[in-house]
Amino acid sequence: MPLLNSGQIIGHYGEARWTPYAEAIASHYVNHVPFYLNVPTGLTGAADEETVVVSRPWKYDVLIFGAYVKGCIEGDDEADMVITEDSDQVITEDGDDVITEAGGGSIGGCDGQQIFLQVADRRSLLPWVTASPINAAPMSAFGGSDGRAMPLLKLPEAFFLPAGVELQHNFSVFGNLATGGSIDWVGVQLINPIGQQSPKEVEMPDGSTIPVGSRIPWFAVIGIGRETTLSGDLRFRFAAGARVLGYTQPVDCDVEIHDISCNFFLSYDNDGGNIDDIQFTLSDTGNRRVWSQNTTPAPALMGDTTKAYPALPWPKPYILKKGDQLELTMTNQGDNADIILTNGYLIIRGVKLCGL
Amino acid sequence: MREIVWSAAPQLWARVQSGSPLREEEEALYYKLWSDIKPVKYGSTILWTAALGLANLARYQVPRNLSHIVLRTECYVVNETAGAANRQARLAPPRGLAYWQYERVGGTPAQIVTDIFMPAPVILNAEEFLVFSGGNDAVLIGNFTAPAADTGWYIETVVYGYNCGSAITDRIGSNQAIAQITGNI
Repeated sequence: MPLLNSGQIIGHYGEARWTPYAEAIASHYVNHVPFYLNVPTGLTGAADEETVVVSRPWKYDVLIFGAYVKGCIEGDDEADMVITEDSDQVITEDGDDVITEAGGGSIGGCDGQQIFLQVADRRSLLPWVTASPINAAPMSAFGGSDGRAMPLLKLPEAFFLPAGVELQHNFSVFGNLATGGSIDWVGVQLINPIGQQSPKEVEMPDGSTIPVGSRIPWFAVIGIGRETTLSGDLRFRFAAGARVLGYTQPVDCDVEIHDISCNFFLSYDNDGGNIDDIQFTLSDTGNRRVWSQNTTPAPALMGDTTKAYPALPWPKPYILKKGDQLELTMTNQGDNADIILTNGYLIIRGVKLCGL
Repeated sequence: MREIVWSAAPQLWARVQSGSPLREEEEALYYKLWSDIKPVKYGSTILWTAALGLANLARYQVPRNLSHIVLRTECYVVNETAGAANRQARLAPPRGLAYWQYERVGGTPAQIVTDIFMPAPVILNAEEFLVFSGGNDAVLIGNFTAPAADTGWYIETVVYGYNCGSAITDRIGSNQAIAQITGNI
């Protein structure tokens, strides 16, 4: 039974469904108003650029549910091959849409796959993305984008941002150039708390009481393939025939894992690769049970900004215990040595079951 | 793998040796330590004449967030010369020196781990116990003299190791083997 007393709720995608944590918090407030927060990246097109952008504090408590991102990088050596005629006339293969600028340059991608982001609230300073390997995750793991099936991407759990607390965003690029772009957080403002003060604890459906703010998003990033450097930039390269192990950073408390996102379906396909050749097996280092006897093609395991589910949910949320790690065995079953998956990242998303 | 687990939790080994069953929390610890181990093997085959001076015999990029324990190295020379009487017979490692080092991505040497003047057999055909941290390449280097015959000899190397998390490495990492050169003691 919904806990909100907000009149008729008409959902455009079916009934509005919030998580029990979000509903429990919202039920302590009289009014709930939609919330949209635009945060520009501040990137100016410089090489290896990093910007820190702090959102202004809001006067009300907020629950953040998801985001929309826009982040274009300029085409580089790994972008589409574009044959131009008569300046802006372009011949494409397979009906690809190509946006050109004067002179025939092509935009490398606008879904935030190669712009990286780290987020923390300025009260706890607990980062959302694990420090390893690059202390950031592609923006496409945080939000949906324009022109795709899912313009908004939900966080695994609503994030409670207290009134007066800013969100700090670290935007960065490696080996690409990006200008502008933004992330738009979407949620609900919580106004007029019952009892004139924000709740400190909420009761969950199972009867347990948990602190408000004890659910922090968790993004664990694994680079796809072998680590290398190019002109001082950290890069990952996954050549045909390669088989590589990757691990998440050990967690400092239990984590409930919900889904996996990645950023390489489009670029690998554009380079002539078959994304089904990129295959994985997963296991938990603290509890070795065979999750899959054979490797699983990437599209069956993870979402991408080009798919209806940018972060493909697991059949069931999984609890990764404190101190344990997820082990990822990656294989590239392609047979063309000239097609190399570069700068691919896999982002395992969940929620830390401990916070403030 | 069981020996590694016993090393990391000798109390479990003592309990089993005494004939007593493991308690529930001890079983959980055994299972956790066992799950923290992932076997890995790697190596190479290179032409001896192309490996004179310094040569990479084996390289493994240790995954970030993990450690790698080298347990055994095997290295032998194989004669692939057509018509040779000892063709494909496995012979002793080449004459020379061998050592382990860290390399950063891109091949830049970062840190030498064992003595660079260690005779090859001590490193190349031996049980081992070396722990390498994640995020770097663990590289086995050979420094060989020329073969007696000019062509057709290959150096084959296999390294066996375990990828282990902190549950194992923190408990036994300090037991790394130290190899000393006779006469340098």
